[in-house]
Amino acid sequence: MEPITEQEKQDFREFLSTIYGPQANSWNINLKVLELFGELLQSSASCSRYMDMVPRPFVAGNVIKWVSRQARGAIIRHLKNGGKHYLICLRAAGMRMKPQFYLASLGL
Amino acid sequence: MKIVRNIIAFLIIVLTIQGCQLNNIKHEADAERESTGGELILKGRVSVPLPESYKKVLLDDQAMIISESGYSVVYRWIDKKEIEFIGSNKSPYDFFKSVFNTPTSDEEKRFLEGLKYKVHRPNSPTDLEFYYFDNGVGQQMYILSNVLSFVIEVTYKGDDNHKYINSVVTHSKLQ
Repeated sequence: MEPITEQEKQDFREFLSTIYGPQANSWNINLKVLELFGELLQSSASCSRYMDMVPRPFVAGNVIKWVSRQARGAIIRHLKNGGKHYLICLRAAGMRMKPQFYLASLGL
Repeated sequence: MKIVRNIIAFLIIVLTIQGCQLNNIKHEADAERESTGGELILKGRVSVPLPESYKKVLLDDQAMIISESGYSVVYRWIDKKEIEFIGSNKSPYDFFKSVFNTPTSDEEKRFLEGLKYKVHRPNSPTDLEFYYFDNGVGQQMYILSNVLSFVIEVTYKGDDNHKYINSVVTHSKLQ
């Protein structure tokens, strides 16, 4: 796996803060957290009208290739470019997955 | 006369065996009660049983996490502020009651959207209402009461998750 850079961690914390509020700023961003984030991004059919899903070259089956820095960069650009409404729409589905994010952030 | 004696002897044997079986059931019930560890009292209002053992306790503003090799449990208290953050003006009780029974708003429908497993509502011996589902890695439970201004969420990840969830249903109570 290509290591997650500090800038990438900061970007993903900002996305998660849009969904979960400021407490997500203290979460440790690791591969487990990114996998959950990918699961959340793809969980909501009713929110997907706000934007296309994650760019296809970076998805294998239904799983985002988080180990690839190129894939992470593409997803960050994709979400920064008009993803705000989509992330807000994910708040309710995100609340259901919040305890899993807590555990993933702690490596549990 | 011999037949009567045989019948009486048979009845004594049957009653003795039944007595032993009842005694065993009682011991199993006692063992079930004793299998829980201590209790966790959330916001001074709700008591939930803790697992038998744990190595770490991690405290956050809105959650407590305990972990042991083989399992972890997240206890969260969801207040009105968190419900408002996701876009609903309902109380936590009304929001979750609606989510698990007749979801109407977009937020209520989205909460369970994508969930692959069925929501269960076990009978409760107390005034608390319990709803739980398999979240893919364990069990996730919500404890509701219309006298509370918050809802408790208990998420168990790991082995023996049904045993712990049953223990929560049996032993949780309002303070």
